[in-house]
Amino acid sequence: MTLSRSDHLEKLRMEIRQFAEQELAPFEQKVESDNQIPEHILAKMRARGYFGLTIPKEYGGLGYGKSEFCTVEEELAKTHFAFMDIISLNNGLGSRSIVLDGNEAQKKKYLPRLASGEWISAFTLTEPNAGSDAGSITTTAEKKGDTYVLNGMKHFITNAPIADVFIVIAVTDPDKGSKGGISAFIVEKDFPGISIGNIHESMGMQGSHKSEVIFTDTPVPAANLIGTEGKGLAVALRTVDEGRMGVAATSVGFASRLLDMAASYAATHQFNGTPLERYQSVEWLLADMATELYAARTILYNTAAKMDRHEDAQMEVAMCKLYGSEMVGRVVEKAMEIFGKDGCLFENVVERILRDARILRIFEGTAEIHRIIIGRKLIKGQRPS
Amino acid sequence: MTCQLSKEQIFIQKATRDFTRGEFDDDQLLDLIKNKQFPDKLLKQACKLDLVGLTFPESAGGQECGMVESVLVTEELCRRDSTAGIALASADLGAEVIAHYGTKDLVASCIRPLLKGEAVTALVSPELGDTQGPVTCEYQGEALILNGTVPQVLNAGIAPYFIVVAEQVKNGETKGQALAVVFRKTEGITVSDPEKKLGLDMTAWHRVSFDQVRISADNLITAPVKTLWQAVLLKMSAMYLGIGQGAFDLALNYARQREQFRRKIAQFQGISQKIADMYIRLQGCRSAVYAAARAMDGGCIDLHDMIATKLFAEAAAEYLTDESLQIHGGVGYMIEFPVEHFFRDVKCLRTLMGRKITQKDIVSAKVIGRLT
Repeated sequence: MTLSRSDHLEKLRMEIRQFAEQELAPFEQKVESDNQIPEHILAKMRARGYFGLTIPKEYGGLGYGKSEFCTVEEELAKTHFAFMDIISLNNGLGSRSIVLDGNEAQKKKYLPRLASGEWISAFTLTEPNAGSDAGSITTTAEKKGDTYVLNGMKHFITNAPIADVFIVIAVTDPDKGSKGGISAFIVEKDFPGISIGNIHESMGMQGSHKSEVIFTDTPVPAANLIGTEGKGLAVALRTVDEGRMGVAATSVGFASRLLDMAASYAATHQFNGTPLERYQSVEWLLADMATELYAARTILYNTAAKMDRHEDAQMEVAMCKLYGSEMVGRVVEKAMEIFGKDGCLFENVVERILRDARILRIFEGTAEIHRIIIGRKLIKGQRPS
Repeated sequence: MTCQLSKEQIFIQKATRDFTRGEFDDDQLLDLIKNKQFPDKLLKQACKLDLVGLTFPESAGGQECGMVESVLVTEELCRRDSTAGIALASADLGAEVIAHYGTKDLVASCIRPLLKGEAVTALVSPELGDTQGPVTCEYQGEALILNGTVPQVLNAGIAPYFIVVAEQVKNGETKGQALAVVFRKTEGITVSDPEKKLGLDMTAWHRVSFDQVRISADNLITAPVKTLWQAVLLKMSAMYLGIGQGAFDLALNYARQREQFRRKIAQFQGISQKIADMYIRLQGCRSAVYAAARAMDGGCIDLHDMIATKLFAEAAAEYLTDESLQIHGGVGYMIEFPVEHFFRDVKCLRTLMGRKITQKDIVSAKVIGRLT
């Protein structure tokens, strides 16, 4: 008997949920305090193939489509952000460019190591003066014989301090710049001239490490160029969808956890002698939280299914990311109202989700950039479907 | 936009601004935040400039200034830095009731050290609108016995005394709320370790327990509890105004300097409209808070209007810090950039008096009135 598509996804969800609740959740506060995921947890995640969810089976991955990928990310995000974040690069920006545009030799060399989680990847695009405006990067890759020489500084690079391999976006032709002068490379951490600069301390995202990466005359074999020279920005842009769907799935995971926590808090706590859940305003807060969550989850899995049917879904992906990240911001505010002072305390987890959720509206393309993406497509006559 | 301030008020505003610009150092502030330390030195300096206890009567060693002056000082302190500003402005939180209504002895032992920057107050109170507990007090002869546990008391770790709002109980029945000063050294008081929390990193929260704590009736303050609430709510409103202004300053500065797509980001309409929206909220907030301060100086503001002002200022500060962080993009999320803690501090401060829901209940009950 073969399972229907939705039964298959439901079965997967239950498996991941069970794993997350039994193996990950007990360590979530430890991850937050230690700013690190314990090694034995990483080993379990590797063994289950979480680092290669989206990598094709022939290269050692699980070959999941977008629907499965989002399901896993949503369930992992219900525990601690770091558990989802640690696998997100190998499944997204860190491997997708190789999967989509890499040659056979690159795929054979790198994908199995990324899929198994033996190697951790980082995606280095952002620079201090090139955030939303990715085309204005200044890191250069100068061709000398069959080697490219990298020079420049990247920042806010997730996983950089622990990465074994970097996908680096650099300028190969300064005259052409963002119009055909940018290329993508696979750079191993042992290549000479790579140093990790300042580690960034941020509001949230404990257990996920971000830093500057500095390239000083770093030689990269021409064999490590992804796709063709000058097509780097296109290579990069083709890979952003996984990351954005991941953010949308994380938003849904966070909101879903918040709803459960707020509802159970309201059922077990009183104000002025009356259970909180009997206050009409609390009932309405929960209703709003659940309604928005349902909407975000629905567009997320609709869009994932569309991508699995290989239809163009760039606009819908942008909508999932934009709406999801803003939705969880509103949901966390409502949860805070229900928790009151208790919401500020470390032990109640709400405050952690509040801090973690705030990055979702910024990274992988800010809300403002997403409005531009959606708006331009709308003006061209495109509509979501 | 002028705010029709008097010469004296402008003088106090400028003195505070000079103090924050001259003495607040970004690196030192970040260290205090990272190490979760109270800004002792800044408090002593602020006291030397008479920025603490501004509204206290001269007999208590204060300046007898009005609430407008007090608001201006708090606003400027929080504008420069939310965390340090709140720490300094909450050093005398609630002490007005002692300065104005306390016995001579209480004023001498509580207010004097406060004005020298050698002590801070800690307010032990139920959430606004909660009439039951969490601390109860009962007469036993001439003495009062206090019992109960209050979580998340600001400054409880360092304050030499607590200003307590307790539920008066007689023969098992509630007889309204009483205000009392309870010294920390009194037997039966336990203060927990600091509670790990979302923001306000220079001011710790502790759980305070009273177990058969016996105090003299002389420690009671005869002022209505409402007086205390009004002073605290106005102070909070001024904090929100300052934080909102500070977040606005940071956003404006960043948007004017940051270039993307070969333009200053302030030149994109999406961002410039955000700045306009922020300015609108900020100016509305300032009008509301100054109006409340003036009304209080004139002796005519109701509790529900003071709550309304606080909620308005709170919403403005939440909006302003959130948008400011968003305009900063990725750097706004990094702790080296002040907007990161401005954002967290507002989220934490707003829970100080309890939930918005119950505060709105007080406003609506008064506005709707009794229905038959």
